[in-house]
Amino acid sequence: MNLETLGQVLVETEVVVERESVALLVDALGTPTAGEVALRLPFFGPTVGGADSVVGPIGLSLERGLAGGQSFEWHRSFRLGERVSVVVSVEDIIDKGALHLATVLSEYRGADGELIQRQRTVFVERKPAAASASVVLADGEGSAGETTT
Amino acid sequence: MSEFEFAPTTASRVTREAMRSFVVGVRDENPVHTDPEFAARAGLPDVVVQASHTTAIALDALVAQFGADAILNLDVRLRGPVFPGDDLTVSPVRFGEHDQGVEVRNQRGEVVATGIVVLRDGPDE
Repeated sequence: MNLETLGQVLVETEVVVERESVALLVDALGTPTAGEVALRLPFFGPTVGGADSVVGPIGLSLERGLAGGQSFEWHRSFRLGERVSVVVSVEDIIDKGALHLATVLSEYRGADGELIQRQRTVFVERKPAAASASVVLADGEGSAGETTT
Repeated sequence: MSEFEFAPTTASRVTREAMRSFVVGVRDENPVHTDPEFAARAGLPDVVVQASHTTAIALDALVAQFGADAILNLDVRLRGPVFPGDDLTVSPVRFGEHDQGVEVRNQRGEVVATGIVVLRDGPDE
């Protein structure tokens, strides 16, 4: 990962809460409350500005890295069809033994500037084998329970 | 703080079709969620469920219980991969003395995610 991106704003853009996208999330969940849930998380901060908008600048390897956590602070639900502004930044990015960890913050605001949501995604990336050859993965850092998906 | 108790959800299967719908819906093109060969290169036995999808499954149980507007924060830690065909169950749990939330388990009883929840205290907040 590129630790120099700490604090950088990577995306500043506007996006629309599209009915078709929300419908796909509702289909995926398939529950009576799926519609409400979908309007609470219709965007994924690390890709809301494009597939490579965050992964590229922070230098995240998709083969060695995965999301280890995700947190939401909700002020209200999104509304179908509304246009919102989003700012995505690197809140934290650190070297932690055999791992790199990055926290990507995305903030969504409505037309009048009101905060709709703060979303944080934590990525955990294993360092390449050569770079971490002297580190035993099971030393506690590598098995910190922040491993996957 | 209201009583934080509810029955575990009925096991719900995460299908490949649902996984694909979800990643298209949130526009996440990471092939680790859709391409088994890429997942294999990442050391995984199959594609894995997208992070927000697991969060959404946990959130859905909370929304069904409390309503969306009652949920202020959800802090999810993904503790294990979720694969196509997994059957997930969401249960209420306590974390220490002060925190409450949910855990998501697969059909083998393994915890794949935990989430600390902050609910709105009352209607006036």
